[in-house]
Amino acid sequence: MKKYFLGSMAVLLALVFSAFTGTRKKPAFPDMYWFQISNQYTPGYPVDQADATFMLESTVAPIGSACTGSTYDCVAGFNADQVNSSNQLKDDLEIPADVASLKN
Amino acid sequence: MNSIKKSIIPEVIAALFILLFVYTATTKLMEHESFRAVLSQSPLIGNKAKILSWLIPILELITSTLLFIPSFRKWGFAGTFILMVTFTSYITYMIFFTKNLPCSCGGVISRMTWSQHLIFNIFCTALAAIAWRLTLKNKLFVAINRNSRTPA
Repeated sequence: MKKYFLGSMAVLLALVFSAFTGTRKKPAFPDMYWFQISNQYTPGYPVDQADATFMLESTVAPIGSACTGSTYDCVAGFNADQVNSSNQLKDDLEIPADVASLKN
Repeated sequence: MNSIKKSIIPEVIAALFILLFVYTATTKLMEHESFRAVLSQSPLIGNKAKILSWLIPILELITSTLLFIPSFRKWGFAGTFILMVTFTSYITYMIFFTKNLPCSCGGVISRMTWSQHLIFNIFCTALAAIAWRLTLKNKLFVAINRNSRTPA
């Protein structure tokens, strides 16, 4: 039993530490559905369903591909009520709740 | 005295790695969503974020289990060394290519800068290599002693 003492203490300490540094804080942003936007959409305007490709659901925005620029939506976040159960935009009238990155 | 030192040192190092791996794996699993999101931002492994966000903490917990059981400790140190080399290579790549990304590691370790993290990982890799070597040497020492005691 003695040979397991140090290891057991380490496991115990690790669990105590993680309890204090784990999920104690609320996420900084609400959970969002992030989409890579193809074609050119100015922020604040609705995006067509066919031009939004689902990336992930997260409180943190992902990095999209070719998002270098400052004019059009590249990675946009939508709220849960704007997305259907297949992780697609509900219709062609949804305006991004947040735009994480832009492109030219 | 020397052999006692040789058996205690790997035990202490094993406990330190168990502490590190159980702590980081637990925080990665507790904050799984944000861990996956940060991984998905990586240009190197972003497309494998979903599977890696589960695989990494699971591998850390398996390695911890191997380190915990004395008869499997040799394999635990081998696993630790491989994991640390992999993490260090990844950090080196990140430093050169995507410095401004947040760290995808667990707990307080995520508050380190990339350079601090690299130094920490190099130290841990060296520690794992030393402990692995000591464990192998101890096995050899026991085997030689056993052979010398065998009656003719």
